[in-house]
Amino acid sequence: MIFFRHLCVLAASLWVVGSAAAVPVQPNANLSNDQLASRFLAQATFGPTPEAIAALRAAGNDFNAWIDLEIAKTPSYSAPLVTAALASGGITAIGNAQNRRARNQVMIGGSDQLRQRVAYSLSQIFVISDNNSAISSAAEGSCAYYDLLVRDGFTTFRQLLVDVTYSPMMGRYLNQYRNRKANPAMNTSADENYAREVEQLFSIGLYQLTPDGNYVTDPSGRPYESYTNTQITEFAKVFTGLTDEDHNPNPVGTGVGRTDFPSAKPNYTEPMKMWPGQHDVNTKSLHHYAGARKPDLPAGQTGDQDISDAIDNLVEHPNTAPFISRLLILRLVTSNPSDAYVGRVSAVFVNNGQGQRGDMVAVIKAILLDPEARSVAFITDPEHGKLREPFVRLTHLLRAFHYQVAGTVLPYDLSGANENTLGQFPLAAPTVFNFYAPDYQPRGPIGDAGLFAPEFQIQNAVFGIATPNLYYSLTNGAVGSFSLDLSAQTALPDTASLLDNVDLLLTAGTLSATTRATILTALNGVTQAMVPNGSTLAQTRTRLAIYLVATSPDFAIQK
Amino acid sequence: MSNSHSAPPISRRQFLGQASCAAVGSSALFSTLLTLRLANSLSAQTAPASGDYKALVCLFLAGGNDSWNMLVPTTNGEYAAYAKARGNLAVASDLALNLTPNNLGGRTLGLHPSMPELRDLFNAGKLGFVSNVGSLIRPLTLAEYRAGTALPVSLYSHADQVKQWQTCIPDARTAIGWGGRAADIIASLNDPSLVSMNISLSGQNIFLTGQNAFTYSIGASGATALTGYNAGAVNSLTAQRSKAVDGMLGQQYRSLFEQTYANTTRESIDAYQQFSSALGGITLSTVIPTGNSVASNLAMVAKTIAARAKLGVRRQIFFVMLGGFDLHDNLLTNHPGLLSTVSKGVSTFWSALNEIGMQDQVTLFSASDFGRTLTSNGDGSDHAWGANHFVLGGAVAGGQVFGDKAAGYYPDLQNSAAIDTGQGRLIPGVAVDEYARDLLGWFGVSNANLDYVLPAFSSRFGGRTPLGIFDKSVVAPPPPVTPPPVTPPTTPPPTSTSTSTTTPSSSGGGGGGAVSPLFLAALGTIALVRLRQKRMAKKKPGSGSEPGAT
Repeated sequence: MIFFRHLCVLAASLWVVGSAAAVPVQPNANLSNDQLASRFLAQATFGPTPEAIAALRAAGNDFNAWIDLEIAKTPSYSAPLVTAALASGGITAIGNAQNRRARNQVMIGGSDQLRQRVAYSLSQIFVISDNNSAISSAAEGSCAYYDLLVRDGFTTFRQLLVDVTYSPMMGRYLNQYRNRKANPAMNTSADENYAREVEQLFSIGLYQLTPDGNYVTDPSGRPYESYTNTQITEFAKVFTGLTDEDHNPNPVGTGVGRTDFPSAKPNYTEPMKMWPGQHDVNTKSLHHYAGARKPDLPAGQTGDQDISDAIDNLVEHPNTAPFISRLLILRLVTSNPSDAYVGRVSAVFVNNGQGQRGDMVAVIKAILLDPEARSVAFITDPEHGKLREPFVRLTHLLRAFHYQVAGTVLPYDLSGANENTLGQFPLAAPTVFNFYAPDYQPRGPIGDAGLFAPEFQIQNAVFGIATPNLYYSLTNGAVGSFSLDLSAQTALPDTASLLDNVDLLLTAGTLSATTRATILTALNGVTQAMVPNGSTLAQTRTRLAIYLVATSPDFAIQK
Repeated sequence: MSNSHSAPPISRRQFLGQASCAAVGSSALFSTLLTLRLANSLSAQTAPASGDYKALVCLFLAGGNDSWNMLVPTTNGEYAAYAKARGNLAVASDLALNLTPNNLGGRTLGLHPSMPELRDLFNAGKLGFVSNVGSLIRPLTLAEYRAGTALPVSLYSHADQVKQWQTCIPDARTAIGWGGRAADIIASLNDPSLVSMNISLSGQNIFLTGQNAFTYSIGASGATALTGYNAGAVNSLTAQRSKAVDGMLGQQYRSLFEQTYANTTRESIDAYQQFSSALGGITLSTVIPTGNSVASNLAMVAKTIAARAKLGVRRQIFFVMLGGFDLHDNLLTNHPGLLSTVSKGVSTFWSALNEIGMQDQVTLFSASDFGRTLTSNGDGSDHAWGANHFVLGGAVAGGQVFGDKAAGYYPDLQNSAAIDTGQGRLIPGVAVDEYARDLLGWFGVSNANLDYVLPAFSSRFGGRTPLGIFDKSVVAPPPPVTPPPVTPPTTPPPTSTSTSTTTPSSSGGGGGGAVSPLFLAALGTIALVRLRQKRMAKKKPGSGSEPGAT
C-alpha cells in the first residue's frame, strides 16, 4: 500500500512538467479597451476580427448595445445557399459536403455572428449528426435543421423545443418521425427514443436540480433521478403520429382501415405534421411538480395538443432553467460556473423581468454580461475558463487573419479540417450525446480538483497532433479552400508589435509574460538564412508567431 | 460561499486512494466503468505477468463484400441451387478451390479462385469461416421479418449496418463500438501508456471508440508527427519553432486548464515519439507485396505487435479497412482483385506473425457492412444481410465452418426460401454478437464484463451455444467415405427461452424488455451511474477576495 501511494505521488508529480519553474505562469489580466473587446468577441462570435474589435471599442465597449445590434441583424441561413447552388447549376446534387460548406459559410462568414455562435451552441444540445445516413442523405435537411436553430436562437426556449420536436430531421435522428402508437395485436409499443432524449438531454436532465444547478440529494447524498422509465413510456405516447408535411389536404392512410401513415414524398425541411390515425389518444401521465399546469393529459386530445402540453410540462419543470442555463454557459464562457452564476442565469430563464419564461435573448445577455464572464479578475482564476472548442479555435484563426476562400460555388471548403482532425465538426457528433459530456473530468489537475472540462474529452494523442498540424498548414499555405491574408501583420515594424497584434486577435491580450518571452525569443532567432524560398523574413516570422500563439496553452484556454 | 452539495456517497479521492496506481493512471471517471476496470486490474495481478499478450485484428471489407461468392457450396444439389440463384455471377464449380470442412459431415465448399492463400491456411487448420452472420436483435424467422418485428434499424443501409457490425447494438444508432468498450474494460492490463490500446490503420472509426478508449491512428508507415517539429533541430526555423513549443508546453501554469492542455499536448507529441521509438529498428524480412494496402497495413500491425514489450502492452485491438466492395456493377471484373488483395494480404500477415513468433497470440477476423443479394442485378449484387466471414489465428479451431448449427453451419441454399427476405437477402443464422462473444472470450473479456462490452448479448443470445471458434476440444471426425444425407436446413430456430421474455422495442433506443442496465449505458448514457462530483464553489466577483487569490 505504501509502495502504491509512493508511486501515485510520483505519478502525480509528473503532471507538473518542468517543475523547475518556480513561479507558475499566469495570464496577463491588465487589458486595454481593444483587448477587452476582443475577449468579449471570443465568447460571443466565431472569433474577433480587427474590424469587429475596432467597432466595439469605438462604441465604448457597450456589450449590451452590441448584443442588441446583433439581434437586429438579418439572420444568415445555410439551406438557401445549397438550393441556390443547385438551381444555378453550380452543383449537380446536394450532398453532405455541400451542406457542410454552406454551414461553414454562415458560421464563419455570416455578419450575424452572435446568432451563429448561439445556434452552434444549441446544435450541441439539440444534437443531430450528419454522420448518420438518415441525416446526410436528406438533401438540404441538415442545413434546414441548423437554420431552425439560427432562427429560433433569439426566440423562446419553448419555441425551440417545439420546432426541434417537429423537425423532420430530429424526427429521423431520434425516431419520432412516423412513430406509431402501440399496437396490442402486434405487441408493439411506441418508440421511446425521442421521449428519453428530450427529457435527458434537451430539457430536464437525469437528476433533480436546485435553481442554481446542484443536485437534490437524499440523506445519503445520492441525487434523486428526475424521471422514471414509466414517464419515458408516457412521453413516448405523446410523440406518436408525426410524419412529413405533404401539403395534401385530403391525405389517404395506408394499411388496415387506412389508419397507418399516408405514403408521401419525403419533406426534409418543413415541420412534420400530425397523422391522427397513429397518435395515441389515451391518457398520459407527465411530470407532477409544484405548479405543473397539466401533469396529466386527458384521453382524446389531438396529437398537436398533447405535444404542446407535454412541452409546457418540460419547459416549466424546475430543472429546465438551471439545466439549459448551465449547458449554454459551458459552451460560451466557462466549464465550471459558480453556483451563483448558474443561479443568476437560471433566474432570468424563469423570468425575463416581464414574466416571460425562456426568453433566449435575456438568457444570452445574462450569460455574456454576467460579472463572471466580464470581470477581468476571473482571467487569473486557475479554475476559470474553458478549453476553446477545436472548431472554434480554427474559426478564430481564420477570422483573425482575413481569411480568403478560393472558388465561387459554395466556396467555404474546410476539407482536411473535420471531425477526424479536429475531433469535432458542426453537426457531426458521434452520438446524440455530443462530442463530449458536460461532466467529463480529465485526469490530472482538473479531475483531481473535482472540476469539469468537457472539451478535454476530445483532446487526445491523435487530435493533439492533427489539430496543430492544421494550424501549420493554414499559416504556411491553406486548409481546404481557405488561406490567410497576413499583409497587415507583415507590415508591422518589429517582432514585438507583431506579437502584440497576434496577442490581441487570438488571446485578447492575455498572453502570459513567459509565453510572450518564449515566442519573442523564437521570432527574433529567425534569421534571413532560415527563411524558406519564396518567403520574406517578415512573412516567416508572422507565420511562426501565429502558429506558436495558436499552439500555446494561452490560446487553447479561453479565459 | 459554502458548497451546497451533500457529500457524495464516496469521494473520488477516497476511492482512488484505495485503488492501485494503475487504475489512477488509466481512468478519469468515477463510474461503474472505473469499478469494472479496477476489478479487472486486480484480477490481472493474478494473471501471468509476462508473456501474456493477445491482439485482435479487425479486417473490415467496406462496402459489403459479396461473400456468397467468396465461400460457395459445391455439393451437387447445393451448387445447383447456388448457381441458379446467382445466375451470371456464379463462380464456376470447377474453378472454385475445394474445401472439405471438418464439421460439415462431408458437404464441401469452394473458395473463390482468387484466394488460394486462404485455402492453404484453412487446410492447415489455422483459418475457419463463420457463415451467414449478421446484425440481429434476436434470432429471427421469415414470418417475424415479414411482420416487421425486432428488425435492426435501417436494414440494408451501409452506414447503419457498418455501425451495427461495429457496435453490436442493432436497434439504435450509436457510435461506441465493441472494440472500444472492450478497451474501456481491459486497457488496465496494459502499462499506463500515452499510446492507446486501440490502434487504427484506417482512421477514426466506431469499432475502436469506447466511452473512454480512443483510437490511436497510424498509417502503413507509422504514426503522424507534429509538422515542423524536431526536438533535436539546431540553427533552423524548425529549431526555433520546436524550442518554443517545448518551452510553452514545459512551463508550469497556474491555470488548471492551461496546465492540462500543456500536459495533453506534450503527451500527444510524446506518444508519437514513444510509438516511433518503440518501433524503431523493427524490420520484417517477410516480403510485403507492393500495391497491396491490406498487406502493408497488416505489416505495420505486425511491427506494432513486435514492439509490444517497449509499448508495455498485453492487449491490443487493431482496425484495418479495405474499401471498394460495394459492387452493384462490375462485380465479375472487380471482385476477384479485391479478394486476391485480401488473401495475399492476410497470408503476408500470417508470415509476418510467424517471423515474430506471435501466431498463437493474434486473431484476425473479417467484418463487412452486410452480405449481398444472391440474385444478380445483371452486373453485380445489391445490399443484403447475412454474410460469410473468416477468422485466422493459431488459437482458432481452423478447418471448420462456424455458424447456426441447426442450419448445418453453412446454410443449404436449396432451402434458402425459408430465410430469404427477397432477392436472396438471407436472414442471418447467427448474430454479430455471437461472433464477437467468441472473439472477446478468447481475448480475455470475462463473462462478468461481457454485459458492458456486448450489452445486448446476455439477454438476447446468452442462451445460445458459443460458435466454438476457439474450441479445439471438439476433434472433428474425418470426412466419412460416404457422405451422409445433408442435414435438412430448417427455418431458423425458434426464439430461445432466454430471449423470448425480451421484447425490444421495434426501433427504439433500448427501451424494451429485460435488457441489461449497461445496455442503456452503452447507448451513450455516459452519466448513467456517474455521480457528478462536487463543483468547486466559487467566490462571487466583487465579494471581497479576488478570484484566483486562493
